[in-house]
Amino acid sequence: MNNKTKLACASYLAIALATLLAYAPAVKLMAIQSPWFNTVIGKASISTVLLLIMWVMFIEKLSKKKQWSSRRTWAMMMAGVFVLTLSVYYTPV
Amino acid sequence: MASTNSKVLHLLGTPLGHPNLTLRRLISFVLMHGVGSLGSIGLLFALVELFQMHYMVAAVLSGAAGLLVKFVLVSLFTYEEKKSLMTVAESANRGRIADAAISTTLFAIALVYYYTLSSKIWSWLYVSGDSGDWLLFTNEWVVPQPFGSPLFISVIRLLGLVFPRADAYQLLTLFLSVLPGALLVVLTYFIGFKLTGKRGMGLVSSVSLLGMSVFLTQATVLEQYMFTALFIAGAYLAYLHNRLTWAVVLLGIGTASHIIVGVIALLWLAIEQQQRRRLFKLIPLYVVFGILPYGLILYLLATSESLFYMGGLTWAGLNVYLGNVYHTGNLSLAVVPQRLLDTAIVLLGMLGLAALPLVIGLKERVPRDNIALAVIGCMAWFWFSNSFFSTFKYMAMACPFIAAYIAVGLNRLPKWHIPIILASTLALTGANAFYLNANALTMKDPQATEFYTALLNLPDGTAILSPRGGAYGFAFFYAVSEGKGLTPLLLTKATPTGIADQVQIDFVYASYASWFRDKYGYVGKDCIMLAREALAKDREVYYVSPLDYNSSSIDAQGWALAFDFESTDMPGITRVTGVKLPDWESFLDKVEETRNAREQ
Repeated sequence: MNNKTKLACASYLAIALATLLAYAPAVKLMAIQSPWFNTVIGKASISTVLLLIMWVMFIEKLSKKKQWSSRRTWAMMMAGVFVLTLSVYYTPV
Repeated sequence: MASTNSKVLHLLGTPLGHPNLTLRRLISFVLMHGVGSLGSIGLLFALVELFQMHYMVAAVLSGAAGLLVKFVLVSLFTYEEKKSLMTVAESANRGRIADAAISTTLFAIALVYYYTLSSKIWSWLYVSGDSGDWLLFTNEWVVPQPFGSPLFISVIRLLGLVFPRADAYQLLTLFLSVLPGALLVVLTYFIGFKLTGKRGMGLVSSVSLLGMSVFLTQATVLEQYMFTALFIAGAYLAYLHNRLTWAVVLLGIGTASHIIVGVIALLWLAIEQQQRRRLFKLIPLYVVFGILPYGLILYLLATSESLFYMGGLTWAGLNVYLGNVYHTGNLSLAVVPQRLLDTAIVLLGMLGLAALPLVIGLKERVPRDNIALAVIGCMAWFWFSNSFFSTFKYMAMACPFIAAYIAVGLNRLPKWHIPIILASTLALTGANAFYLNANALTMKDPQATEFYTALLNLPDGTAILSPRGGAYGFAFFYAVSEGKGLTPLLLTKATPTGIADQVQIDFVYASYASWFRDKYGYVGKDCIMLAREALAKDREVYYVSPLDYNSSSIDAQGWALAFDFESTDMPGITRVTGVKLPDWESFLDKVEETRNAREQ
């Protein structure tokens, strides 16, 4: 048995175990009749993170195209983080 | 002429596409099969109409008639012609026969599996509380919940007209969830086959889909996701076969079924830069099939007097109508770890060991994979980022693509992986049949049916304080549309938040109050005033929706500040015996006062 096969077998075992553990909670999460919401309201939502990731990707792409210095790229990225943090801070809950 | 004939023959399928087949024989053949199909249609009617005797008789008679006509027509053929037809059939492409046999078998298995597990009585299982809204269309045209789903509601209206005596819940579940679910299993076979070039792998993708719990949940209760998924998968398959026009048309039809397909269409356009010119030319076609049907919703908004919406086609009305759509991307960062865990649990329970080939498959480059990845990504994002966890239902539309990627991954792995994955999938299919059996789960806790039956058992003339939508609200609206004589006292706003003097009665409610005054002669402007008037007229008043007195949330207890309640033995129905406050404004003041007192 080569290493790849051993790794695959180990992965299957781990996934099988995880599935056994997850199955009952998964059924419980789905087999409900009343909708439920995450009622925790925070200043930042998951969309904030998405925006941040998109901003970083955008700057990275720009920096590659225009051959920016790494210092300028970092400055742009941090500016994005700063603006986003400020906007989150001032967003009413 | 000959070329046109052969084209026509080719279009009609391989067995008939033989160049020696004459037009006369072709017509006979089509007639033979057409009439022979009558029996099947009759059987479908019998199934839908709950095995009522006259439909059973009609089914048997039409089946017999079909067979008779078939025999007569066959007898008209000469021996040589029959032989020629046999040769045509024998010379048909073996691959196509294999495809037909595999897809028919898959369809039959999936249909039996999903139909058996589907709920046979009205269910809200898997958070399908919107089913009440869909059921309404079997009786009448009303304003649907946003964004409207014009094709979906039109199909329901049509089914309601064709089968007026059928059990509406069973009818819609069969046609809009079970049948599309079974068809999707077949489509997944063709997608998997196309992506891997192997029939066996197509079969693996279909079997994988059959084992997916999320997909099963939507194929066995009344919801709109299976019907919509059919067009997304169909569009992708058409695109894989270079049928761009068909792909665009199917995407359009999908958009008319559910607005989220519009997002997928936009992503499609953004991804396929190389096809941009061809795609731009087809945009009018997409508009015709996908956008124009929404004119029906505008028409209904303008003309319909629906309990769900009565604002006409006005900006103020539309603002209220569309104002409820805000949950996507709204998940608070604080609960992201919990959401990650919940999502992982559901995905793992859905995939089992197939998670491994899926990961490998997603790394593979397959034809037009960006589109498949976009569909999976779009649905996953919608679910993951939504503050409403029950949107796992949207993942059902990505499941055929996930199943195809499992086959792609498995195709890269040594053959010994295949039996392991199949065994895991079959184990999940079996476990799901036991633990996610919608019929058994609903029978165990038939909330929707019990609530609806209780509503029907109330005396005519009873006034009902109802939410303006949601599972209980839609069920109540459906009871009214069925002709039950209940007086609808709609709740002004269930959960007031913010500063009381800044909250106004919304435009749609004001329109409803005006309609109510004209129809019933009440003069109240809000639900508290209307309830007082109803009580003063010696009407029985009930509140529908569960009241949680033990909840620590002021919103959950809110209406207890406004009304005197008396519990009943009817599920989800509480009797209103008195009104404590003069109007809604004073109710808001009271809520705020109580909230402040609690905070101090």
